[in-house]
Amino acid sequence: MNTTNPEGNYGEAGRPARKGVHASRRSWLVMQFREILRDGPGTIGLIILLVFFFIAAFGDSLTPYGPNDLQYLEDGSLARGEPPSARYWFGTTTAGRDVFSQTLSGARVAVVVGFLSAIVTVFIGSNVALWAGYSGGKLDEFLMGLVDITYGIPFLPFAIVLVSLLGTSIWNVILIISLLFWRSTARVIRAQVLSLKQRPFIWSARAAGAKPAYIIYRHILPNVLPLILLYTALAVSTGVLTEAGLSFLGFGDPRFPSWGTMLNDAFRAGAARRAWWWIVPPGACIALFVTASYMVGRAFEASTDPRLREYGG
Amino acid sequence: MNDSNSIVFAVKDLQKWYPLQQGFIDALLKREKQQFVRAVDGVSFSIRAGEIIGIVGESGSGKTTVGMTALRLYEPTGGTITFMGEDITTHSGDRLQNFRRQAQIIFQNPYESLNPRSTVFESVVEPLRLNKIGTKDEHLERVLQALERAEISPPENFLDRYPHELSGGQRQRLAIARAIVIEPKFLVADEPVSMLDVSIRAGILNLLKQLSQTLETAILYVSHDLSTVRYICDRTMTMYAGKLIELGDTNTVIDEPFHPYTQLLIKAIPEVDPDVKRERVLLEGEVPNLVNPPTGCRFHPRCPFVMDRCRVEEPSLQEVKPKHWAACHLY
Repeated sequence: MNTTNPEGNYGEAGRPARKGVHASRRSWLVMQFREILRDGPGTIGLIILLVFFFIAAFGDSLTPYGPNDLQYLEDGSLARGEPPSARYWFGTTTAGRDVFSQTLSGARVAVVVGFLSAIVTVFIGSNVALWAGYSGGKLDEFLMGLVDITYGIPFLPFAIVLVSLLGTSIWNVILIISLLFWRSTARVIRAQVLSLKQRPFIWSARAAGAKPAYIIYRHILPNVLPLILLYTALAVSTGVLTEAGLSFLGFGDPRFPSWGTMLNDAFRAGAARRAWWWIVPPGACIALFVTASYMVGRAFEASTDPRLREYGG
Repeated sequence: MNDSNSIVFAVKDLQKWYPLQQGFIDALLKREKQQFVRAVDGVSFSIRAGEIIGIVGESGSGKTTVGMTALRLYEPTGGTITFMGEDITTHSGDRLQNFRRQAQIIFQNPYESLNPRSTVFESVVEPLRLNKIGTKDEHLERVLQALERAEISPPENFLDRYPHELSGGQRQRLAIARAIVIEPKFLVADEPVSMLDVSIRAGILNLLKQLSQTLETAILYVSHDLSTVRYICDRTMTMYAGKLIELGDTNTVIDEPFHPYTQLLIKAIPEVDPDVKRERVLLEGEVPNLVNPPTGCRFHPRCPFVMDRCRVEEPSLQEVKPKHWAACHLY
């Protein structure tokens, strides 16, 4: 947002240097975060997400064992289905792998899929919304027709067909999520754009000779940004949940074990009733991650609510 | 109306019709003819450099639509718009941009006409940047000058503020600074003081008056408030149901109005002095439906002097007295 810094450009004009009387644009994001930190659940959610980020970034050096390494007991036999112990905190799988290490490395897939798919869906969704809402007419009809079509596509059959065509990889999972889930962002933000574009300051920009792209990105986008942040947070949880679901059904990336893949392994090994320590960690992590991003999203929502907002509008 | 060659801006037979939404089946079968809301239906006037011309009329008479259409913010349905002797009705691209560079608008609500996320500097410099006027070094000078002209002082202290940190009057001055930073030849002021406290109205009006004199700007002042119109307008037009019904020097229009509608409008102004006995007149009825306007004179259903002729024949704008036109069969 900080495309031009007047102080930098005009400092030499011989005028007294302008002191920023009020918060600059840069601090707008800071204010958004302060808004989240004022919200109790939002703060907790943010901390949980940061912990997952940390695990995702440094997971390799945190895990005691390789997630796919076979573990052997002292007597040389494979550690099959060992319950939690001091050596294997979350126990081992029936194939002799360490559940704790797998759980930690699953965070990386969750973070990558969650945030990449959220960024892509929200990027597509908000651009579609901005152009459809602002331009109106045929473009709006076309783009909203596309939204209706994506709403009509049932997710699972679509995902299964695409995975079998493209192969199982987390990039394809991100692609599938991105292809469908921009629809809700597009609809909601378009509605906001429709009301914003009738505001006098938009007419005023038009009277000054502003072109559509300029009005959209300089005047409308900054005013829908809180909503975009809210939808990004919600899209993160959708992304993680969808990836887990697909992996549980066996469409996950075999190279990167995710929480969904772990559940799928446990289910196929028939461990659901015998080895609770194999089921609970990935399940709890999915629930925790999704809840955390919802809590951050709720805090964003509170900050976009005009009754709670302390500035703007 | 066209006695001077210093005419900056003129419209002729300006029309703005909005198509009425039809049912799908009706449209398919062409069961009904497409209907229109005739918001502006054949309005002609011209403005000279440095002149302020007012449009008055009640809500729904089409006065704001005239302002928006004059600036090509709404596309006219018919008629011509002339700016500096050039027909700009169908201009687009660079030629339209050239018009935008010299025409500006001030809106009614200063709380809505500024982007809440732009600083004062960004709001005021925008017309310069968009129209590629001046270098970056000149921008700051011109912004400060515009703020000074709009009597925001000291301007340096306001550059980094956001609209929500300003009062209503300051915001409207800021909107004016933004409009005059490009030194426009033509300015539409759409009820610029109606949302402001009475105490600061005079300041804003004096400012507009001064600008029209120093910058030779032609101003189209849209208002329903006859007292402010009298205060700053050289000439005044009355609009009713999308039609121009009276046009003349402000003083004569207000003191000796010809059209019965203007007469009633002026009688509706509250009297300050409680001792002055005044005939109370109520304007009955409402603005007519603009989809099917009344035949003949559009005012005839509410007119106290209605004649048979008024119901059939539409009166045209006639010069009743020198430089004073009215559209009424009485004259």
